[in-house]
Amino acid sequence: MLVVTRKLGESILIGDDIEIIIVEQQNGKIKIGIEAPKNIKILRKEILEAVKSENINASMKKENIKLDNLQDILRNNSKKE
Amino acid sequence: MKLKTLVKEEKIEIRKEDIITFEKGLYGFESIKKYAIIHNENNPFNWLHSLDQEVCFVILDPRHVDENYDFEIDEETLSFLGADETSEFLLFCIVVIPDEIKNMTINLKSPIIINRKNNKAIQLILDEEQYLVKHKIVSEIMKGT
Repeated sequence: MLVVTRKLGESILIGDDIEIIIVEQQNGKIKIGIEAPKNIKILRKEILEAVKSENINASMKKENIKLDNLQDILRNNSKKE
Repeated sequence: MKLKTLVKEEKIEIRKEDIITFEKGLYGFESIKKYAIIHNENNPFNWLHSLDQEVCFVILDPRHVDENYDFEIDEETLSFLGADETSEFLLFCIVVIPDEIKNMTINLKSPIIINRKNNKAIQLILDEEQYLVKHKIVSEIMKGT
């Protein structure tokens, strides 16, 4: 991993098309600006990890699930609204 | 092909046109590319079942939970799916069902869209902040009733 120290307003260039700029720093939080082509996905890491983990959760223990029961719950939920 | 599933006793016939291809797989299951949707009569809940491994998910069109559910599909995604603005898509989100099924949640943050024309699919992660990874299907108020 490359570790680089930057001051406010300074940038890092990645490849030909990506720029990371340190925009603001306050209370232990750092505001980072990212210039990148639209086809590059930019995500907060914890969100990606949460989605992966949720998918894995969702794939477990299917044997006892009856879709009819789920449908009943959904129906009851909308009736009450 | 006949598919032996985790969710039905008998094998299920899967036609070529039923096969859904996730070129990038699902998050956490990137190596699994081929799935089929197993429908259940008039039930809005369906199974998304892998064709090459014993993996399956309960899926639901999120508009059953939030009728205003909406998001932008960007150019890159349209292009990836071989689609354009006129294309029709199927929209699903994955449901997590805990032991107490009333506590089930749906991942609104990460919908699955399927191009109906070619059955190419992708799981997205939305920028929209109002959509949660763990959206409760049964609202807290209802549970108490």
